[in-house]
Amino acid sequence: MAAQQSQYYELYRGSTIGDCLIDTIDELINDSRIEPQLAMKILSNFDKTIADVLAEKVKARLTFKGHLETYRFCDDVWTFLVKDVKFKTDTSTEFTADKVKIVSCNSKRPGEV
Amino acid sequence: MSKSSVPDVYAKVIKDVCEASRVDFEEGGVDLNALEMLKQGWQKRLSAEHIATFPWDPKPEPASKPEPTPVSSSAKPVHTLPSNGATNTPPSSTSTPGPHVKQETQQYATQPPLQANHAGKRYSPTQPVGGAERAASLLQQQYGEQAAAQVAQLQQQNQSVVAPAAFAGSQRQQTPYELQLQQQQQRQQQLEYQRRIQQEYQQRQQQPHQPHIKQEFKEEAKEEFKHEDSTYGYPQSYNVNTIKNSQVDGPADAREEYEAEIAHRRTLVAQHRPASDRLIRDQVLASQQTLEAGGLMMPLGSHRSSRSKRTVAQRQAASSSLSRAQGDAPGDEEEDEDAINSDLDDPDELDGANEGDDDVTNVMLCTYDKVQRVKNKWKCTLKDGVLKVDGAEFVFHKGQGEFEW
Repeated sequence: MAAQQSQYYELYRGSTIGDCLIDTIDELINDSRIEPQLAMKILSNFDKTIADVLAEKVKARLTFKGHLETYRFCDDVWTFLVKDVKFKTDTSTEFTADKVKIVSCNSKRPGEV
Repeated sequence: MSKSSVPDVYAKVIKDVCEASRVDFEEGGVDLNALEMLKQGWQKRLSAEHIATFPWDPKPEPASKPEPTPVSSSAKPVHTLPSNGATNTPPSSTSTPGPHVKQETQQYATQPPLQANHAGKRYSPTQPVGGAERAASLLQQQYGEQAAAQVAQLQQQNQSVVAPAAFAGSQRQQTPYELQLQQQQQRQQQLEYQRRIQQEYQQRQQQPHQPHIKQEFKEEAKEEFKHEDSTYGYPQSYNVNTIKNSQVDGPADAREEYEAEIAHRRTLVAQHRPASDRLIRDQVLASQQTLEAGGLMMPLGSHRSSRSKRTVAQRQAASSSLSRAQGDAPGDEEEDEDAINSDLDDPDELDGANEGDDDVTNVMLCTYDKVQRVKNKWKCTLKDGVLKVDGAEFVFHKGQGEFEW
């Protein structure tokens, strides 16, 4: 599990919350309020925190079906481009999307770097 | 369900990140205010995404409102000032400032020399005073004492119209020097008068509370002065200068404040411009690209953003030189750029797929436990995901995906 490892994926930096954090940090750096080194530390804190929170706090389940257009597996990262996706949550809420890109890292990372 | 938990999850992430970063801030000797700014800026941006309603949402809303103050403030003070009447338009120098002039002249009517001067000036001929003065001095220069009488006559003609009260008792002829002195005096009186009007305006400006009113007043006052100038026959530049000189204290503060505020906002806007320096974003984008385009999943410790940046630069340099060397048609260049890039760095098929990925806004970021395929049927067991679909955000702990290829 990612939360138990010493290294964390930077994957979630591309999420909305990560995006917002990056924008904010950029602004602070432009204002010369923080140094880029500190910014990198904040981001690594974010990597750890979001992995922990998603693992511990979130209990929701999600199932989805769709048309796989592209798949790719490289360096232990799966990338899928799925079309006409139907999502279904565990509370039977359903929603659809024309196109979804899934970027997925291995949950079991080898212990050594 | 998963959607409703998004605000809580994100709130916790923000809180935890800020707490974890507090130590780094302290170790780096960085002001903790910056951390607070980070938190608030982060929350604000997240709210602006309209993903969900966050616990902090009610707070930042009013804070973001006073942005358009410069626009609204110019309209506000108009109603607070009785002297401004009901006009919303900027003072036009002919109609609105009328009451001001009347008030002032009444007020200063108690001062005899000033009044005489002022009243005299109102009926002065259209020819500028400077002209008569120059004529007199020319006569004096050319003909010396012989012309004294004529000069005096000339001056008297002029002065009798300009200031009858001052010359009422004096029948003797005056030397041009005296006349000039007198004119200087008059001018000084004029200056004095304007200075007092200015002070009067300053006093009145200090009464209202909003600082922006001052500016309007000042502009109006200027307009009035200009208006008066034209009746006096003085060149306008002369009076503008006197106004500036007499405006030593007080009213410039409002303007300075206002301008400082404007400047401050402009710098803010400049900083927020997406085109401005986006260090971290670029870095992250570069690392993201490496991640998705077949780069190694690099742990944080061995983060080498400079390398990825360099490769981008190298790619561009290489592609341009290569395309030149190949002598391709200019229309092909843009397409070729990517193709060449992929030749240098990435497998071909990845690059082609990447282009298709770029316009996808619905993204799921997660980890996988298992990915299985039987013929064209795929099954994935996913974990710890963040999903963004059509502007809505979802988080899940476990996800099961089934696709047909």
